This record gives sequence, structure tokens and C-alpha cells, in this order.
Amino acid sequence: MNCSEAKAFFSEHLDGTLSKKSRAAMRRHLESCPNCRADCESIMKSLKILKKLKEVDAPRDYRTAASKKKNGKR
Amino acid sequence: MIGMMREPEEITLIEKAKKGDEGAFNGLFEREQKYLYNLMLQLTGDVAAADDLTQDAFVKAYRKLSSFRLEASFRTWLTKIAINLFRNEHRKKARHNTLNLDDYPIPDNGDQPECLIIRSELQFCILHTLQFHVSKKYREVLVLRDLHNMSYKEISQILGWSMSRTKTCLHRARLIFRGQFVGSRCKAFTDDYLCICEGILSL
Repeated sequence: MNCSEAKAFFSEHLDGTLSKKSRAAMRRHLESCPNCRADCESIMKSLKILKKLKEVDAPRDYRTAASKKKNGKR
Repeated sequence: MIGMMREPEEITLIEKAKKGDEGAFNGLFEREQKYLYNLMLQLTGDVAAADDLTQDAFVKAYRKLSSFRLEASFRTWLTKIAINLFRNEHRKKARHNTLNLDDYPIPDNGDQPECLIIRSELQFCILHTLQFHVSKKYREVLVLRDLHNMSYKEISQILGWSMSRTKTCLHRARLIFRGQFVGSRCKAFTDDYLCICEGILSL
């Protein structure tokens, strides 16, 4: 696996969806290429930050509103 | 998280709801309303728009449930409805939102005030990046995958894309998010965060 092939598969590598063979090739490449390793780690770090976005509570109960609207009530 | 695997309980609820059982409708909707509202909020960055879109998606789902053939999970089906509404809304209004930190409710975890401020600013910064630096197409795939753990297959079904397009766009979306989050004006903030021993990640 070369650098451009590795870069194309960073996402799948991070998601753990690569085949066994590709996973091994990716691991070997990252071990030997500090640039790709740093690149992949920075994507991982930014995703870790993205995932810090917290869920909030819904402001109201949509079940009643949907039921009323569906039945044509205001 | 409800994935592609449909739980027997969900199938039972759908079958009952299709026969007009209000309780079953309520059961299905109750499981999804927080998820759907958050998805719409993350896509629009606008609490009023997220509220409207969530309600409209539920009304549409209510009306169309009889045509739901269980080819996907209820969540996947509902999300597809909501995303289509979001796209139509986006096309019609081309909203130019300004994010307001005060409008975005931060869950109260009993933090110290300074932690709450940092956490609140981080939420704002992430939403800002998504809203203003990641285009709609990439925002959709990024939010579905990385904030809601949808599988590639589910995302393909929801967005109407091939699996290969989904993978390519997700990768591109992640690169854009990283580039913008680190490269935009949020950089100073990110650097601050990362140098507090990655304190950001433990908040």
C-alpha cells in the first residue's frame, strides 16, 4: 500500500470496516510512514472533537402535535 | 441506537401502528423524537427550524406509515423522510442563519461554571464549523455517521447514494471538517483545548 492508497482508506480504517487483508496492509503502511500516521491521527482527533457535540432534549413532545395535525386538528 | 437490525418489539409496534393503534404510534415516536430533533438541529444549526422539521417529519411519517414496507428500520425510514424535508427547506429558504450561543441548550451535567462555559463554547464551535464550513451534502453524511453511528448501508439508503459514493463523501466530509475546524478561526480555540491535556475530551 502506498501513501495515496492509504489516504483513500483512512476513513474505513478508522471505522474498522477494512477487509482483513487491507487492514494488515494499512497497519504496515502506517508503521512505516510518519506522514500518513500523523495525517490519520489528526483525522481521528478531529472526529473525537466532533463527537463531543452533546445531544439536547427535544423542546416538546412531538407525538401529540403529529397526532393532532394528522387528524386535522389545530 | 437502533441500527439495521430491527428489533421484534419495533416490528410489532409498526404492525400495530399500521392498523391505527395510537399507543403503538406513540411508542414508535417516543423512541425517535430526541434523536430526530438533534439530527435536525445538527443539520440546520437553528432551533426553530429543527423544531419545525421534526414535527413535519413526524406528521409525514404518521400519514405514510401504511406504505412502510419494513425494508429498513423505522429510524432509517423516518430519517429519510426528515432529510428530504430538510433538503426541500434548504432549497426554498437558503437560510443564512447566525448561530446564537444562547439559543443552543447545553445539557446540565452539574459542571463547574468554568467547565460549563468551555463545554458550551465547544458545542458552539462544532456547530459553527458544521453549519458554515461544511456544505449540506457533506454535513449530512458526517452527522449521520459520526454523531449517530449510522452504518454505511443505512446512510446509503437514507441519502439515496451508492455505497461507494457514501464512503467517498464521508471521507471527504471528514477531511473538510478537520481542515475547517483546525484551519478556520476556530483554530485558536482548538489549540487551547488540545493543550489543556486534551481537557476538551474529558468535559
